[in-house]
Amino acid sequence: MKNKKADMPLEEVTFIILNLVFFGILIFFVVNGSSGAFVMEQFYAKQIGTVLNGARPGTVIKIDVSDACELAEKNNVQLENVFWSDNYFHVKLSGSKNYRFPLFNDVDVDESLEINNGKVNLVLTVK
Amino acid sequence: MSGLFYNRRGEKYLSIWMFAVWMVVGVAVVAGFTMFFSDAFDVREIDSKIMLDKVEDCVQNSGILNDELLKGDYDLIKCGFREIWFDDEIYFILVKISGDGNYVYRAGNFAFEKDCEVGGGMLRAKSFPRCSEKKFVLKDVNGKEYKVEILTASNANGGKSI
Repeated sequence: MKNKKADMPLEEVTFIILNLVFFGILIFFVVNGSSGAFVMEQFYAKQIGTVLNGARPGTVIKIDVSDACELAEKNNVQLENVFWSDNYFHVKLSGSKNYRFPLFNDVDVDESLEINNGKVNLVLTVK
Repeated sequence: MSGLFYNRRGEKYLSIWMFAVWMVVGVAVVAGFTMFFSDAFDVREIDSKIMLDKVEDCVQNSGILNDELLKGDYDLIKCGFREIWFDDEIYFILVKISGDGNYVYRAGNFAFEKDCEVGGGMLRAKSFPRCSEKKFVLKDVNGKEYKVEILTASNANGGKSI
């Protein structure tokens, strides 16, 4: 009986390897992209920006941002530079530009990070 | 070396068509990924609803029409909005009050008023703002009834800083 594997010619092996590499790259792109800085920056900027647009003065908002801070540390961004606001709410999780979402609500916001049992909470005080 | 590109029947394995197929698949995956995440994080509709609630708070005080609006020169933006975004034209507010006289207040990108009318009929056109609308009746301090119509629109997408 012939060993089929041993008979597999070079061109077929190359074809299979190239296909595996191509689809591997695609899967890596989707998995890495969906948990990557750009998607997470956009997610946090829009969600927190929307919450702040609806907030009244005196409101204190706490949000668990552990995953964002973990990614920021991995990308060498200092935690105090991850979240801030002016006319926009900004989120920076990688060395490149930050993502920002406009705030139409005319309130002042104080941002601080609270570390509790390994969890990082963003505390937003609306004034 | 040419054997690398052909199977035993002489058909090409690594033909230009295979690379073309890869390119189509790659572009489709990247486009699908981008479309999925840009739509998943579209908060314009929520933004316009939040703005509508905020405008409603300006229009009434515990169910009584804010009499400042009946003086004719009320500045809606001063009611807790950042002026910069209404100059930047990514938002729009319209308040119509009719009863004992008609009052109309507009702020932001006036073109959104038409876009909201048209956009409702077009299935979620990407470039159109998302709009929220509310109609209700309010009484003034003297008990006179007024019809109030509020329309808000948002085209705030956010983005990478410049």
